[in-house]
Amino acid sequence: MATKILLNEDEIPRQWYNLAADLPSPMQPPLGQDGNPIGPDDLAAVFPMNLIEQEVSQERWIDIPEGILELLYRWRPAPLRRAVHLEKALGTPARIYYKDEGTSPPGSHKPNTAVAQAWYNKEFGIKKITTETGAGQWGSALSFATALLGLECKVYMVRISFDQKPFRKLMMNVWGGTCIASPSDQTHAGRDILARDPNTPGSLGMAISEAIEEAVMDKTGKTRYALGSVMNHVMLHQSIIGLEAKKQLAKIGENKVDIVIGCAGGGSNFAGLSFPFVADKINGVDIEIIPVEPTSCPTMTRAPFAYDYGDVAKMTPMLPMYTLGHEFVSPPIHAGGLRYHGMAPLVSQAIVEGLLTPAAVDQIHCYESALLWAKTEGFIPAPETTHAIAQVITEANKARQEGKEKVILFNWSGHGLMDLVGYDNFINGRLEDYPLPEDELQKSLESIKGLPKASLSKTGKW
Amino acid sequence: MDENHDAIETRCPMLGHLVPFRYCRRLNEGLPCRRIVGCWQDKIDAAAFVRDNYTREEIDRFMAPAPPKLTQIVELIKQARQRS
Repeated sequence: MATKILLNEDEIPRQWYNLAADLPSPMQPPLGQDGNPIGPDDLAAVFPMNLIEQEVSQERWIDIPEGILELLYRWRPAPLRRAVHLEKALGTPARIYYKDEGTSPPGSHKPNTAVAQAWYNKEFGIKKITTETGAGQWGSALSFATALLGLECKVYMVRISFDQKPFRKLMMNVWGGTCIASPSDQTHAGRDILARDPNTPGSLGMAISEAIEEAVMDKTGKTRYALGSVMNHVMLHQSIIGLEAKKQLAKIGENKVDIVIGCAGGGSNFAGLSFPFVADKINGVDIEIIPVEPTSCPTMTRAPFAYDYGDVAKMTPMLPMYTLGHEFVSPPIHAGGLRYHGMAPLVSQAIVEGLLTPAAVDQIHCYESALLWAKTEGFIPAPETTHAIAQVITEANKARQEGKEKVILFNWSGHGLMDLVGYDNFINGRLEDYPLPEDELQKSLESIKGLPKASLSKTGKW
Repeated sequence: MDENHDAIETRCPMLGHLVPFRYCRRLNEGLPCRRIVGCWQDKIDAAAFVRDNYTREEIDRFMAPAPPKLTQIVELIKQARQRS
């Protein structure tokens, strides 16, 4: 029985898949304060036009340039593994496969888009890329990518993280990235903040301001900004995960996947695995596709689809999304990447169509599942990845109860070796569940009453 | 300002590591993080801390959740150009 299904380099997918081309009902655009859609020109100061073209593209398949493939070969094609030891522990007839994105040099799926973005920036004539980071996962992925291409990389890292978390900073340095504590004296925004509060420990908001400003203010026009989640072109680059998985499953004769699972925060790792399978579902294949979220932040499972502002002050454009209302304040959980009150519009529209079946899991179940995983399969998953594992175990147990040989595929989005504090809290009994109470949900939803109703346009096929 | 809890630590899910309470109560240019109540409710009475130390206007200001990255970017481009 094969437990590692590998592809040769010449079998790597040569095109990315763009779900926007196949969605039966079109995505609705982000709206500005004036009610008009945000256009490419609004973003041209910080993104190269070749990436903006991808952001708005309706092409189904987009060629992966040979130059990007050569970069991806360092760790791709990534292994597809079968979790036979977990299957045995559960006594399930289900066959559980997972795409191992923890094999990249920085240890997660993030370099899939980091190297693509760095390559397109270089093609556009850009010499330097800026970004922001907290503990440093995205900053280290981008530093890795720019190192491969000989670009300059400047990462504004929140000062308290810069002081307390030296290892990701060192990873950036090893790859040649410049990591600056934010706020810094290198931007107007940073200097203004420091003038008001010289001892500020910084915040992600301050770091984003500095990274954007550096890109916008470069008079040579050779600096741009990069983002590791949320946007359509990020999901496009991540689609290589699912496209590889399809080839690997076909290689071992698994011609039918029953369930596809991924944790969903900004949506890029879930989209990367699932969107190629969503295309199959659109074309008539019977697959259950499950984005998983925390019960404490039930954006997809309990919230309505509506236009919402991004902020309480209502200063930002309205976006159509699954939302808990802009006054929603997320409770404390350990999966930082999953804490956001609105889901990415492309994922939201697929839910509206009925192509996805969202699920929510609580954090105790997540860590129990992660420990079972670690004791059977050996690898220690990132906190976000534990949500997918918890749902996989639920589905595998259901298959046992039903006596069905289901094929389950999920995305193992990264290892948790840099994020063991959550495990420490769980093992020592310091974690508790916080499912969002119904009265809090209803109170939060009051904030979107009176806003324009997002069109629930759908074909009704699913 | 009540500084009794300043040395207590909890994990910041946005940054991905432990932070002391004094960070959470002043990271937003002297005002608390919008998640202070949720993140600290199992350790201290964070709601009472907020109620006792900030005005209604300040609370409304710092409790605003972050906008989507795309919309943040458009706003920050405008702000950067204005600063120039």
